Amino acid sequence: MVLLWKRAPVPARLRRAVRAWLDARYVTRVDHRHDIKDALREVQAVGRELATLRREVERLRTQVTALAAEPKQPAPPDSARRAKWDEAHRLATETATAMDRLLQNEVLLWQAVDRIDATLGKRVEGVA
Amino acid sequence: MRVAWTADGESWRLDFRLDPEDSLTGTVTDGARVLLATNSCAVRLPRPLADVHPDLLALAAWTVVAPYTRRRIAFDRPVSPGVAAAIELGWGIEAGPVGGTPRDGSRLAVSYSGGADSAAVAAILRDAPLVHFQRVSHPRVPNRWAHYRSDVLARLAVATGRELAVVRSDLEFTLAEPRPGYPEHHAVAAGAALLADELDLGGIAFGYEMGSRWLGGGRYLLRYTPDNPMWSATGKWGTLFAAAGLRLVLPVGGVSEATTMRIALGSELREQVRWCLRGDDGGACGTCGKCLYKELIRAAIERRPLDTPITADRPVAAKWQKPPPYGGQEMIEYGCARVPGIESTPFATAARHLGATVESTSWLDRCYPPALEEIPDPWRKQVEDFMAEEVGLMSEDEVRRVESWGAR
Repeated sequence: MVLLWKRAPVPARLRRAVRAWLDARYVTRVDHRHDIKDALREVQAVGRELATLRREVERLRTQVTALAAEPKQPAPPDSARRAKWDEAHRLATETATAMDRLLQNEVLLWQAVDRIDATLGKRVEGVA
Repeated sequence: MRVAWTADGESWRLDFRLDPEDSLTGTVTDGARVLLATNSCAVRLPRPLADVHPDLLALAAWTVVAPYTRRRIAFDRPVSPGVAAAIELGWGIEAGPVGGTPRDGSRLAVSYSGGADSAAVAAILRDAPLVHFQRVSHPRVPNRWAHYRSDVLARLAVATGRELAVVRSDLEFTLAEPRPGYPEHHAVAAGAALLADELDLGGIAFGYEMGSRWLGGGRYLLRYTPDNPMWSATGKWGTLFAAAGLRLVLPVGGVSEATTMRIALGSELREQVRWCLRGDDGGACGTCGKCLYKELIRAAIERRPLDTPITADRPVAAKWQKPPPYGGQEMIEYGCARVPGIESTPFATAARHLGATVESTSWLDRCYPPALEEIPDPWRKQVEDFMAEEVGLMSEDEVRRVESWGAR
């Protein structure tokens, strides 16, 4: 454009008109300055936010490491539930033990029944 | 004692009644004291059978009630004179009624638990059918031993792809004390006995190895036991099994647990071998006493350091912190002499006490020939050939090591 303007003389009126047309299409210097300032503020704000986020990530990361290092302990059951479990366990153990005795007594009972049977059998034979 | 069998489909139920002189307490052939829990149990076979020979029913029943019987045993069907005589001679117990004819068969089955010893037997007898005993709960006895994974062991037995009969039984729950288990060691074969005619069995092969058969096993410490009442062919149980036409055969009776493990892990059954009763489908638990003991043997044959999470302060390792004698001491000596870095394992104390060397334990790598002579004729050659080719026989010096076991 510059070269063209140097080589071919353009009438001053046309030149002004073109310049005015071009100027109307572009932002003014003042506006441009404002825009740059705004952009700078935006960038600074984003920078601050990024720093905050970094700190947050760091904080969460330490928290995760600490949690992983901690021995995994489920929340202790409340005392009422624990008492219930203990009671169920006691009952199961005692029932099983009682069942053992019961079964053994049954064996001994049959032994006694058979002994009586044999004695009665002999007596009946003696009478006959 | 009076016993009666009732068949209900594939399930055979055994009921027994105590005579006046019998009691809830009893003594097993190995000397252990037991307490009876209840007087019934069942054996569930893979399929219903039309009938079972009275001698086989009597044999199976006797493996359950022998410890509690004081004077006489009355079976519900007449047994052959041979079976009655074997019980009378062996135990001093009057047995009857007598009147049946004896039975016999021609095949040999393997009583297959899936551990290294019975897997070695199955590997030697390549065409023999396997009979696996699977513990199931008793309908009347609370099962406090749910950690015992008999279901896993049964699945592994199926996975062998061999001809197999899985027998499910609750007979172990007839024992209240010390804990559920075989009333006599031979009760593991109760199902095989009931199936004997169906499978045409003339013998039953067990995985009992040299330690159990000749070196006293877990019961007698440091004692040479040619007269072993449980497992010698001419002992009371050997005689009774033979009288019922089901000879007792110990194909690995002449070799140590190191050799059975080498055979088992070198066989096609390798992937199914499992000596741990607690592990699930993922593998052995690695934390029980048996896993520790077998790991010592395995590390010894593989000549590598012990691979175990168990430390000397764990209860399962407690007995190795005390001075000898130990049950199965020959294998502890063998392991301590061969495992590199034994001084930093739970066996360190035992190793220090035993002072075993590779030379002093090399006899455990070969076969004790008298064990082969005990194997009945029809099956001896197959085992003899295997031992000669794959293991090698003991020299006279090594034979003396066996026969002077504990006398040093």
